[in-house]
Amino acid sequence: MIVTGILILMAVLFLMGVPVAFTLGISGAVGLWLVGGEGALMGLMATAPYRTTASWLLTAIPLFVLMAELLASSRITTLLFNTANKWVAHFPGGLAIAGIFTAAGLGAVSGSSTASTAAMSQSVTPELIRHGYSPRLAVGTIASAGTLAVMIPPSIILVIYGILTESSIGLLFVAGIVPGLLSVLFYVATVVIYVKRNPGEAPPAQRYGWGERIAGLKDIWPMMILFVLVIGGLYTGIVTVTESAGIGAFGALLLAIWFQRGRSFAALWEALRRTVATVAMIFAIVIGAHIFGYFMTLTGAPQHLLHLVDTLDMEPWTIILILLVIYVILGCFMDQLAILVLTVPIVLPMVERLGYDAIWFGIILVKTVEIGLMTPPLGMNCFVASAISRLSIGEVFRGTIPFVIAELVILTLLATVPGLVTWVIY
Amino acid sequence: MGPADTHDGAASGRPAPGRPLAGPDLWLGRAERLLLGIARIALLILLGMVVVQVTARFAFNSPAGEIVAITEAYIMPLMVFLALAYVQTVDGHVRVIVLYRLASGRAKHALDAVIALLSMGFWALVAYTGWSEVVFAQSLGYEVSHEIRLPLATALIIVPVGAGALSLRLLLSAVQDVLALVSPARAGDAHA
Repeated sequence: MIVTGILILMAVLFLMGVPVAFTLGISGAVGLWLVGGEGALMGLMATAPYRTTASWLLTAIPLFVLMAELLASSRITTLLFNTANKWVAHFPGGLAIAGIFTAAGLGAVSGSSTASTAAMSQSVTPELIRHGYSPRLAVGTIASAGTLAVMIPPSIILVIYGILTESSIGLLFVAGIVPGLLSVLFYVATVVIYVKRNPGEAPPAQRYGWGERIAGLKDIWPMMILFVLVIGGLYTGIVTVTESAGIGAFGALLLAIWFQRGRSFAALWEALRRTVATVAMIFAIVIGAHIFGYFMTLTGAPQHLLHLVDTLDMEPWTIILILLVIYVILGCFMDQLAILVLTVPIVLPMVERLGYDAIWFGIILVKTVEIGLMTPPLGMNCFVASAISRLSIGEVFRGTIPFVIAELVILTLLATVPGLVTWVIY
Repeated sequence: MGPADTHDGAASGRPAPGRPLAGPDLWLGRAERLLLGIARIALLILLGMVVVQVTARFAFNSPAGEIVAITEAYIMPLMVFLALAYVQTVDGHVRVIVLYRLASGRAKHALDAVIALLSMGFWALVAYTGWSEVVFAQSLGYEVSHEIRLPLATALIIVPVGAGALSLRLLLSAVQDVLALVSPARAGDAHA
């Protein structure tokens, strides 16, 4: 009864527009007071906010965010784009495909989807439109491709999932590589098919010689080295997650200084502002979720849910299918981080009880996060792309439709063939 | 996942012209920018310390325990709590606005006032209980850790400072919205 009442309170606060972090905190605090009385409430409130943040392991989050912000604000995006264009310009929609590979490259050294989208909306979208691409195709491609940073390691969402579930972040990163590359392939195919069906929306393809292609690679070797250091070090176990994030952020700082001679301090100061703002926002949600999670644990609700699943006369895959549909729908209306923090502690034990792997489920979940970033009404990437490119949000959402369809196909593939995720790690 | 991305133009934390209670808004804005500056420096220190930690471990095979203790006790809380109020100022806390954006004019002011008051209640409680913890730790003479022999209260106080600043910001927002609600002319100014 109390749990139902608190869930209703939480839904009302969400819909009123109360920030997600505060909604979780208020609902959890009221619930704690009702279940455990003033003692339980005051005791948890006195310790939880500080204890939740005072963690060495969690330092990976600000460091990966800083790495993303430093790289997104440098010339790296343009360099990646120019290099990618030389390799794929001969395909139909070649420049848009170059945008997808740029996003993949940016995602490989940056774990923030919105930072990646913002950087590309500033530099790549205007180039696409200038070369004759329709604004819808240009901005739709960039808003969608920006989501690749969520899956391709190092991904901040995967770090948070790993911390929440106590899964190996290194394994999660490695497990994200194949689905990330699969997404790139499907996005490229989407652009090719779209341009073949709508030839008026993209200029004719052009071709570069092998000499120009290979010469272009010399501009991006620092990013390749950074990627190998961050992911290779983590995969081989030479460095911990925090150390990997530290190396990545420090390397990004050096690259930003190298690429932005003259204005590096201003860019660094701005990157620090954006990073602490994002970190404070993330941790406010984590604190709120911790308080709410404590309340849920006190009521025994997760155990009841597990018991309920045990008594259900359904095939495990049916339950997973229902969960995925719920996650995709939730992703349209709620922030992806909030969904993760709120649901994973309750849902994962159920998924594991059904015999599924936590790493596989994390990757599947992140795929639903990607879809949520590009679907109305809350697709954050679309809002970022719309704000920067000054195109209407409706136009951006229409532009992402072909990519959302591609994402749903990939999600189905990953859900039905778990080996695509797990063969690299086991 | 980065609301800061959508608020480049609102980075100053300065009050909008014509907003009620511009004086307190200005002073609170200054305090928030100061706290944000400390949070930025904390992040920079974190980066430096992790680099030192990695170097110490690989070059000398002797990771520094003090770095872990300082990061946990001070750096992470400084980064998170001192930036909270600033994030609120630029409306950077993630929220669901599907129904909220349907409200307009006075209804929006009323809704904003209720949201700010509810949120203020929560963060004021965090500040109050956090302060109680500071007093408790100080009375018993707790220290940060074996490596860092400073009073634990010097670390715990970061929570009431950050949560207190956020509570003040939310209280000010609530009062501004109520004033704008009862004075339609000001409401127009505030929305200008």
